Amino acid sequence: MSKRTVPESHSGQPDPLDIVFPGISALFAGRLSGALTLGSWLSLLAVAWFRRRRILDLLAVSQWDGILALLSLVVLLAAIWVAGNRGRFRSTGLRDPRVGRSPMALAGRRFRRHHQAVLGLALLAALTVVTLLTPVLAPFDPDTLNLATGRLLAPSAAHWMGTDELGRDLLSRVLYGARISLTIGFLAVLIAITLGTAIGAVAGYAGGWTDTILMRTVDLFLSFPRIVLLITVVAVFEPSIALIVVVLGLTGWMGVSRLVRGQVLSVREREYVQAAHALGYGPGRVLRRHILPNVLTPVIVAATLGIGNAILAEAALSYLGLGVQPPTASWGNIIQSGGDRIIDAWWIATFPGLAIVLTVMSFNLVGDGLRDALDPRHVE
Amino acid sequence: MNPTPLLEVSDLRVGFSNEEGEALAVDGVSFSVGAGETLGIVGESGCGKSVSALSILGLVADPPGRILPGSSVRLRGEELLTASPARLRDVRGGEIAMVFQEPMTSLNPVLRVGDQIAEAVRRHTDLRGDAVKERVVSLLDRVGIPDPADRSRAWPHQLSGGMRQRAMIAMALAGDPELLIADEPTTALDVTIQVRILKLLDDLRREREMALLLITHDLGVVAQVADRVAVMYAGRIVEEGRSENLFARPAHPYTAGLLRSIPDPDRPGERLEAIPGSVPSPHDWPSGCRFHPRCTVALDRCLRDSPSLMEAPATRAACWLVEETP
Repeated sequence: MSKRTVPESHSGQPDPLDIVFPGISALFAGRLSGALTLGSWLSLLAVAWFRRRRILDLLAVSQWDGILALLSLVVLLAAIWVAGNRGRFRSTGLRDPRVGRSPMALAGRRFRRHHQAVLGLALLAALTVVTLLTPVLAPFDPDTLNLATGRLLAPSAAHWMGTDELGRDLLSRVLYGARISLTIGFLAVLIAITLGTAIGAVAGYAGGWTDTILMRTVDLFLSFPRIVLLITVVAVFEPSIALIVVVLGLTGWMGVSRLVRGQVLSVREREYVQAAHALGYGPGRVLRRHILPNVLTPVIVAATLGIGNAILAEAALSYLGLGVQPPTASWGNIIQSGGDRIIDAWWIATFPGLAIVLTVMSFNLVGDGLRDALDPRHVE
Repeated sequence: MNPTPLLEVSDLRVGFSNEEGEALAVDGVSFSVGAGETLGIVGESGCGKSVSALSILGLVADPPGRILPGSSVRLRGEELLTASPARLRDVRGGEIAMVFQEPMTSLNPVLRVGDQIAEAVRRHTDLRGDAVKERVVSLLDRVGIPDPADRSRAWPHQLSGGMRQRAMIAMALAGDPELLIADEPTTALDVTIQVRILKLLDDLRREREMALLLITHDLGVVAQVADRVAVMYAGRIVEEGRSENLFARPAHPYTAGLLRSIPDPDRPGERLEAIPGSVPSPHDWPSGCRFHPRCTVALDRCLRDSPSLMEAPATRAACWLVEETP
């Protein structure tokens, strides 16, 4: 029997401490989840306390991103509190042993045993929280100049990451840049995955000339050097975040479509697909309901790894001056602005560089962990 | 037998193409199944029995497969080979359902068993909502799955092979078919389970007045449930008849050989006779009677002329010996 079949340890007699410190009873029971719950609860409370004046300012200004950040803070606190007190809301923690675990639940358990992947996921979770709360967290406005006294200050208590040559606070710029870089990464991969999956699935399932045409299109796109295409498109049109997302998405789908096509070719010969045909299901239903769900696991892995790549591509574009345009901060253009001052002001390029390394590494760790966890050969 | 049989297959010929050209995996097969009747089709691997079954529902992959012109599959007189794709999809799982050999891989691993059966119920009946759930549970109950309401929420990987085959049968019954095609339904199962699944299929046929087309390489399986048996060899039917006649007085040397290769509990210790050689490839069927290279009693004529089914004392057999020994 796994420990999950045991009732939640405090479901019967709620620990009053849990109301103030969610997760503390789980922590005393020696569970890691308790430490995580309590840790995030305390960190968020600390943020709310130390940034209380900023929060009041944001409320007064009531701009959408400030309001969104405050809402996120409230929602996160509520979620953590509920997570720490879930014994109160669940009549019983017993699983019904007759109702089995879904394939995804089994994969989730394998993922949790993959320590590097869990670390990556924790970093990504922290990064996501940081991006949501940026207006609350950022100590300064990222675009406010201080040409008189604030230029090229080394990291200090006032400016944790120092300032750039225009006297802007680097920490604030890196925080705001995270939003831009991550948004571009997510959206570009979303486009690439959607397009790639659709094209690959249709090519693999239809076969024949449809397959030939679609796959030659893939070859055509692949034969074009991505960075050159990116530079050309961005040079012709006005560079904007939307354009970068679209261009990165439209140049990133080919690998996914090849992957999906290969998987569909193999899955469509499985007996359950033949059985679906024998039950009179139409081609659309067979593809959507019986084939696609069985090819999605490598797509999830590819998407996770793809976000890291898209962030790198955005950084490269911005570094070339063709990506996100100043004064909007992105990790790429901060590095670019600090590139020629790496000797006398090392912090400008170093901190956003570290942010990229950590983020891409986290995505890769999670991607590797997912690949191992979702591998169908790991049948328990 | 009925004047218009439920299913009538005539002169079915199915070709498969590869680099060596097109080969006829099924070459002129004709048989019929009456309402409520069980027909067993028996033959070794590669004799074309599964392809014949798939052809009935138009499930032969094209390419590489192709049903040749002149072939005919009629359901109550309605030609299925030229039916519209939409009509064919209504027939599949509706009038004619199919159960496959591999229960371990015939269920979609990412959908709960009950949801898969519910999908078939919705596809072929007007039931919706809770009525679908009730039907799923009653189907699972009927095919002998214990705790059907709980089991309907199980994932395929949690069921044993026998349970999965029962679930597959439940899914096939969802559309209340008139004909159930079972392609090697028991081959992948333990012997004890095989008997129970066969019994289940036979009971279901009886209570639903459903016809059963049972495809197997196992004469023992056929002997237990089939009314009539057709023996296939190298893409053709070589002998056909009522099962008690065919088992008692086989006219074709191939049928006789198959029967001798089954262990007889009344004569323990006796060495089994195997038919020498193996089924030839469709790309080089032998001339004349396709069984002659493996036949111990072949005549000169068998090398040249291909026999068609003729009346033997108890059955109909495609063998020149039938003519030689009146």
